[in-house]
Amino acid sequence: MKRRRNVISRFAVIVIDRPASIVTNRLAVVLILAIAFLLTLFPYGVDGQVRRSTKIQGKDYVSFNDAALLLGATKFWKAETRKAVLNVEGQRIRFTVGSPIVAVGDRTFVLRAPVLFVKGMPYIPTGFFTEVVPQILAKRIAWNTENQTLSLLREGVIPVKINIETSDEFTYLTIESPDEVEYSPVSLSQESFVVLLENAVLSGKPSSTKAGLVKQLKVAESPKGIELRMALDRGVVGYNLQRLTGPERVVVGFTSSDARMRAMGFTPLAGVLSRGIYQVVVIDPGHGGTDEGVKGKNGAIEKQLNLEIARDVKDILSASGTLQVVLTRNDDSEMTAEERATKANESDGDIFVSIHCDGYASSDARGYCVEIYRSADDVDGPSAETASGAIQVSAWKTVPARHSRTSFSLARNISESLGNATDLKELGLRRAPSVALEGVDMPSTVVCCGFLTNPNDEAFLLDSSSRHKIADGVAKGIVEFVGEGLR
Amino acid sequence: MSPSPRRTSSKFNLILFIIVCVLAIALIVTLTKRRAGVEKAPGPPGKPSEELEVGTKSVLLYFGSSDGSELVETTRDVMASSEPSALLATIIRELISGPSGKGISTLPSGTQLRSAYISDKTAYLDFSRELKNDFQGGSTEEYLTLASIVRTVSGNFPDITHVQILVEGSTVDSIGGHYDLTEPLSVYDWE
Repeated sequence: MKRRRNVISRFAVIVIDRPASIVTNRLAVVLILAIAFLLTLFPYGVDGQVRRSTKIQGKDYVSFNDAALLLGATKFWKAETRKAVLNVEGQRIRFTVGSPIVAVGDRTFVLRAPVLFVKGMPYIPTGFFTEVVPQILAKRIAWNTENQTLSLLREGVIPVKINIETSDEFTYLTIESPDEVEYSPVSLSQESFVVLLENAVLSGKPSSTKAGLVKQLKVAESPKGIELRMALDRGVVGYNLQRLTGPERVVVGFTSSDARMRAMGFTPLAGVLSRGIYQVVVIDPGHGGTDEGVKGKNGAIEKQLNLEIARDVKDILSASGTLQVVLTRNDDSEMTAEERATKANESDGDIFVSIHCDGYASSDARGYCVEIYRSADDVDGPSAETASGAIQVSAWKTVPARHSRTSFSLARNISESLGNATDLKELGLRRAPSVALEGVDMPSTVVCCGFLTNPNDEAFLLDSSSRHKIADGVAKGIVEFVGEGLR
Repeated sequence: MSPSPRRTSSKFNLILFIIVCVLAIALIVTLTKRRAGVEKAPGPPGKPSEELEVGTKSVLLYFGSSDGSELVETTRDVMASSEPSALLATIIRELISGPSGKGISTLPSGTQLRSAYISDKTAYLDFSRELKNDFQGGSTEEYLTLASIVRTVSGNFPDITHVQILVEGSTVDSIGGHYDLTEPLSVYDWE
């Protein structure tokens, strides 16, 4: 805890420098006490889990002190033998200055660079953290080459390194990690080939972001881990995803060779596209009949606008030729939510989008939002028994909960493309026990296309060309969702 | 240059400041007490004769924000009650009476609370038919109506996990057609 002492001594110097002012002096004492108290509260400091590395002789090193902080280890330094020891998780990790050998219990590891002694302190090569630590400790440390920082990862998070190698007709992306990384394809198309690496975090920079058949590689953080998003060359005909061990890695391969593809165990890319998980889209214009929905001050009636937007979406999607579109109502008939859901399910729908407009007590509220289903009572789950022990009615209603992951993606895509297509304010995603989605057995969402109680939104919705923009945004969002191929 | 006169004057200022503070607090306390006395909230129906401990209690009320994007928190002093159900009723009646400052009441005007009770960590709130019959507005309005009720309950009763909204004594499908009310709403979902 050299750090702590440094801070205090610096303050002490200030106090001695200005003996004249008693008030300042007292203030300083109070400050010192306060800081000392705060430091004891955080034994490793707030920044204890992120440490900078230093370049020494062209290699990256971390000071012994920082190494101890990163690992939460107790440190020992024996000056006479020039040995440094870290005690952590019941392991004794022994370094010797000048040697690349690390001894842990009765095992030894050879680092790519020797431990050095600089400015009165041993320095340890960063390779120790990325290569040795995963083999001996439960802790995982990610090495960010760009910022030159090492950071301690939360439990269960796996650091991965990405390399791209390319030859004539093949490009391979190798994802190396100390532990097995769960991976799942999110989207398998040429424009957007996306693989999710669960609980992973990028360690170091990918060797390249553009090589061979991969026109562009982006690494995006997602709530579940990281996503490798690739745009592929037009020539790519097949891909291959496999896990290899020793060292632990996932390899994503792409090829432009039709002839050699099958022999190499590649999956044709075009075949994946045409199989089409999503074929039937059900568009549900909200309200109808005596249930008129929200009414605007300037004559807008929700049920009518919903129907017009829905018809527009249908026309746009039908024109694309790949998707079949079903409307739950195509006139002013009144339908219950149950009838709508039944119609959607019986049409073998793959996607359900309910179109609504919004309304609020104050005219200040404006913008569009998307909504996905969450049962009224998520905590106890749909299997909760009623007091009388009667048969559960909720089984039918809570069906959409089965599709919550895909529904989320559908809603997100629509929200994004609506934002691009219109000037309406984006309000985001809401999860609620939506009556309109109950019983709908497919990815589903409600889109509220603006507030009829807001004069600007109402004017926008009353204008047919603006309405067309909304329909276009909804349709594009659906197409993008289909393109992702998420199951 | 001697520090003593400045010190004395600053000490004097401090004492003055404290006196002013004490006076201000005393004034506020008497005013609120008087106001609470005038607007005595009606006791729970059916139990008018029961003796209850009376005092004031600051409670949290949640109204819709003017742009409909969130809930606005306000505090209000109500007649305290040692009986949780009675306090719950008082709080919900305050919520129905609407905001005095910022925020928007999302409950239809004319709505009344018929009764409130707590059983097994669930709050049951029985409203008059206006809640459903006079409800106007879109999903955001309905969402915030439910959110303001649930949040007001959970904000004042941390032990309550569910809120069941009833209309004229029984469950309803929904109040405006958008959100299912046949089952109790979990307070965790409406934070």
